[in-house]
Amino acid sequence: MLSGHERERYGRQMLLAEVGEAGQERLKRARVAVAGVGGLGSAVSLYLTVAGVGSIRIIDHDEVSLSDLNRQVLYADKDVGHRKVAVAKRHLESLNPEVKIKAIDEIITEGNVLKLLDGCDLIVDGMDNLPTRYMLNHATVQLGAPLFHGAVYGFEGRAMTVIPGKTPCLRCIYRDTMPVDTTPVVGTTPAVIGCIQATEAVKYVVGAGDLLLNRLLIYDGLGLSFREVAVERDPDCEECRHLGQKVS
Amino acid sequence: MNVMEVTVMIPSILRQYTGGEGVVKVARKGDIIYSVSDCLNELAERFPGVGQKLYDAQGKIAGYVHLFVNGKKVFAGDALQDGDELIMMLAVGGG
Repeated sequence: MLSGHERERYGRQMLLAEVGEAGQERLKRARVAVAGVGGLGSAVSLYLTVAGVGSIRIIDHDEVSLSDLNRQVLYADKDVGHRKVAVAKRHLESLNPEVKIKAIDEIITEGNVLKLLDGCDLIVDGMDNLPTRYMLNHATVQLGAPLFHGAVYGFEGRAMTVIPGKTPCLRCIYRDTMPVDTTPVVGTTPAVIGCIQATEAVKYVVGAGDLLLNRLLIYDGLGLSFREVAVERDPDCEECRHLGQKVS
Repeated sequence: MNVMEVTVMIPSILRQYTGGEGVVKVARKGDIIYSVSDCLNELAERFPGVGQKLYDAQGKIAGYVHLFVNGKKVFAGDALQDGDELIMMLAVGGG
């Protein structure tokens, strides 16, 4: 049940037929994990917080560096040297005190990933490397929870939504990782992709629109274009083949 | 004689090697079978820096290179048609 305060706060989005009171209540009940609060995770967690997602679990194990501040908009100069999840929690709670923010200051590993994500309805990928994304992918397949994938490099980004057992998982489409010392990135790229991930998460929760299923969105900030490529489940996928054939 | 032209979309990661070009046309004349691999070889000849990123130490297309023609996944041996659009996607994971 929404309070009068909540009805006013979320009034602009509740005007939408796709959201309405029922959709807003679904958002309030949703439990979302944002794995990584860097560039992508900043944008995603900001917009999920102001959208009124009831519970957001932010997971990271890093401190704020000066070089993060061109893109990680949850943090300011004064936060350099402080733990990211602690600063992010304070900032997100100040934006919307009605949202429950749980901060977990841990490194995601194969050993703890299932525990860290347990109890969440959906998982947002805000990681900064592919190997950890593969752990996240493994966990979402095990848990049967949707994964909202995003990745960036320079002016380029990708986004895709994974419904385990129905659409390709990250292991169905990615192999290996291009070796990179330090990922160059302009701040707007994770902002664009993070907002797309947040849009997908909101759509999923309220049951609106067409999700980025079976298609990978490629954003080219230099040419300013969005392209899509069709992606399919790999019947030999080491991660999700046990979930059977595609059903939709 | 047939003229075959393929449009290759260069990911931003590799544009430093193409003089900033994001779209490169690769054309060939003659009645030939033209594969994705042929197209990439031609691209690598024109832009050696691109070739260095596309191929591994054994000269094979690196595992992190994913290829799509007209929006669908393809492999090195697949044939190309005149007018095709080849997208190269490199597995990178920044966030």
